[in-house]
Amino acid sequence: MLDELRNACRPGMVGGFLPGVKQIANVAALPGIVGKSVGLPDVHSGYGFAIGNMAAFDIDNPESIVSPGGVGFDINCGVRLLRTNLFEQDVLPVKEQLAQGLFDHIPVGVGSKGIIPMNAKDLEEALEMGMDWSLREGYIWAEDKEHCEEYGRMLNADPSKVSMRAKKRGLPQLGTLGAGNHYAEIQVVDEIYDKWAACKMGIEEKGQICVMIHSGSRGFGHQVATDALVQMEKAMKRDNIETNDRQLACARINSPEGQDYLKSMAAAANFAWVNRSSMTFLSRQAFAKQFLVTPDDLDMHVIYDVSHNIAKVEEHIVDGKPKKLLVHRKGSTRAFPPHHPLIPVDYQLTGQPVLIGGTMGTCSYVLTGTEHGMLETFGSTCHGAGRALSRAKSRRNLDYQDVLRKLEYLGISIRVASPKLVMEEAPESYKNVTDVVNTCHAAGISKKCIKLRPIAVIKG
Amino acid sequence: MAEEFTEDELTLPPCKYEYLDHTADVQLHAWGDSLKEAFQQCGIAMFGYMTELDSVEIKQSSEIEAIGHDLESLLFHFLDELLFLFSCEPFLICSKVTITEFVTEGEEMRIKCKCYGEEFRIGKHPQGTEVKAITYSAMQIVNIPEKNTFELFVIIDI
Amino acid sequence: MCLFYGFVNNICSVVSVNRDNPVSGGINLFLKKKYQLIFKRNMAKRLLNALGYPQADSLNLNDEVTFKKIIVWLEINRVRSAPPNVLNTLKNFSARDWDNTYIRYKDGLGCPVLGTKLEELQWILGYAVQIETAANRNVYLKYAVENIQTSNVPSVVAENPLDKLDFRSKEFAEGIKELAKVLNIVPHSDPLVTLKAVRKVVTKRMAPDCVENPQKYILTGTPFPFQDADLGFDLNDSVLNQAAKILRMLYIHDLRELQTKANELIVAVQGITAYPKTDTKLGKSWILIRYARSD
Repeated sequence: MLDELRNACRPGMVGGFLPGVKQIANVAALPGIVGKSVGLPDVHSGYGFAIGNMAAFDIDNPESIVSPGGVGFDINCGVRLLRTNLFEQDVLPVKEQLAQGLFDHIPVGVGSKGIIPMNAKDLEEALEMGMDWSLREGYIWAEDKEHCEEYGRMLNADPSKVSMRAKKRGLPQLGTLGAGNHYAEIQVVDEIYDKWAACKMGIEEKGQICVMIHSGSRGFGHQVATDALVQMEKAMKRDNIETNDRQLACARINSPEGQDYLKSMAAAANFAWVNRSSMTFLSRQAFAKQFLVTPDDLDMHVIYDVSHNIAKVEEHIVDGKPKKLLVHRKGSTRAFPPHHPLIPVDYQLTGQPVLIGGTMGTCSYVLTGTEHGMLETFGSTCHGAGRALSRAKSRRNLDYQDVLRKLEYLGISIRVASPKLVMEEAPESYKNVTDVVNTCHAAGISKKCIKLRPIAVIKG
Repeated sequence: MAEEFTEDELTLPPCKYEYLDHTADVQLHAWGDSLKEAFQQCGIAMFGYMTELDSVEIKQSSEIEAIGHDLESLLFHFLDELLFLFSCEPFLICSKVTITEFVTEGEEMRIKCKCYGEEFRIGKHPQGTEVKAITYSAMQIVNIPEKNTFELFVIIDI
Repeated sequence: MCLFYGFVNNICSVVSVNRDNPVSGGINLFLKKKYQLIFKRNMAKRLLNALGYPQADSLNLNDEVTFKKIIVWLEINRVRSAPPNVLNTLKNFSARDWDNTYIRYKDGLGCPVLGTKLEELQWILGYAVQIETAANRNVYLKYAVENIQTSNVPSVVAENPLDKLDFRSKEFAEGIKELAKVLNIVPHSDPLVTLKAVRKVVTKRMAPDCVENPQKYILTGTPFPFQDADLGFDLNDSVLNQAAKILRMLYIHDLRELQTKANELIVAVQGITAYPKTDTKLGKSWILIRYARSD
């Protein structure tokens, strides 16, 4: 973050970009904002909004805006965690086979195509129904829906507001993991900080095996965002919306562009849930084949599913009064406290589980939401490690073979579609996720619950 | 139904692009002896991030069209069309793009472009990084014909 | 397409419809007694018949005068709630403000906004039936399903021996206390409340299936130290806080039950709709493991 600032202040820079801190400040100047523009501990420069940025806008204020830049290109990018009743000693002997199994089942990387057959009609239905589609088709379990933000379906989704272009990009990619920082990991419970909350999640002891899936809405969401940005550029001129940064494309919430974006964003969110659900199905298949028992017998339930790139209408208490807000979370995870009506019944006493994915080879965390976070950040916390080194810098400074050797040394099996790019995603390229999580814990906006350590990584 | 290509079409242009630092994404920097060449180079730079271009043979071609109201939006839509070509039918990965029509005057700027390459196939083409979207973020078009300087800076979201 | 759409809401709305409709309470008893044979006729006519309206079967309910006649008859003979001036206007079928008066009248009864006059009539009929049923509760009680079943068995006395019990007697209170003690229930100061608790335990835990397969009914899992859990608010009174905590637990318990039922519903629908498939051309060696939940 400070590097970004230093770079931006260097005189005579050509092709420079805005540092994250400046972007947060620009967001704070947007019309209709309520409370603060919050930078989470994993903040870094993004497009329009910084990544790790939360901002809420008053729905009832006609000036208020919605911004695709406040959601990001990968709409409803998020993390899902599955538990199993296996322990490390059950998995270690077959770790390589299991990693290969997952890699064979889940399509990864650039240019990969989904293996769940879909036609245009299926896609339309999936966009409207979200995880209800996956349920109807039998890819997932009823309990999965329960443990998912929004129950895996945004009701305001309207596929007719989505361009043909987005649908064309989305169709072949449904059920694929993607590339970049997306991954599927087999993880081991390494530490339990909150015994009771962990227990509610079905995590009883250290050594228990979990599966984490980090993915989003693929090309579909990217195209929805791109289309919206083009539309909003026009709307901004028409409605005389002035922003500090031309990249902060936005439209009034109540304008046709704003409403269309929210409806197509919801469709993209549904796409992402179906996508993660399809990979849940494939992961369960891979485990079931390896251990020759049903996924049911492996107790492969979804612990939770969070989205960290999304805008949602939520009710919050502002100045002692309930208020409807459009909360943008970009690189930020919802973290609702205990007893909140929008979290599943099983987590009513513990607070919403917050899944923080690490990077290849580093730990991941499960946190829980707190009352303090509800007041301070409208129930938002960090989303992951956040980049520290640029990709180009990682390529220059690190050697991919070193990175792979180091992972091997740490006992982590890795299956990766583009091995020559692993240095871009190497732990050294990211902030230390433990520091990020500890900061959120200390600030009281979320509480540490479980620490997970990877033993196998599948990535693009 | 293999397409026939002339010797000229099969010749690859020299590399006039590089990848610059950006925290989360990547910034394409392309240049050339004309704005047209810089545009072409920028397109190839994007494909170069998706795979290793030496693995791409020229077996088929596709034509695209892009319009814009200024140079920035022209560049944006041009790259977006190329990305679209790769993302769904015909899943084309290109090692060469040739702009056949390049109108940068007037209200509506227009590009017509022929793209040469083949269908992306896992196994043949090493998987690079996925390009999510083109952005206007810190986009710069240096267009100074007097000094013969033509440079483009585009951040692509990956 | 919207198969699962808001199914929880649907469940809730079914419940609330019943609550708002005055027909639901006494109607079952009432109808069973008099008019079990005329189920095929339409509801409004059946209700009119049940209420003793003359020649109900041959009425044309779409006729305006007939409608007005019925409303006035119902008010005079069954509902009896309108003030004299309202009734007078209603009686005058040709009055210019008849419609307005009628709207005031039905609003006064608490009739919700409905689509057609016929629906309103049905609602008012239900209302009248409820009044009628409540007035003659004991008469109809005999015909309640439970009682009809027992009365069909000749050797059983139709009379309920419990009717003769003095619920306020000391003897009764002592008996209930003893019973509670046997069942490990903390007695409440009101023996009737204790009785309710006893009933709950008996029906839930002493049913034949439960006694035979206790494992099926005893909840397993790790107990949660709810005393340490954050209540989310503070009432500045430890007793009140404790009570609030217990209410929260009961609420969560109910919510869990509802969610489980919703899940069961989804699984039942999946039994019909689910057919997961994968394209073997695109993947590796694909053999699908079927995993229907129950079998």
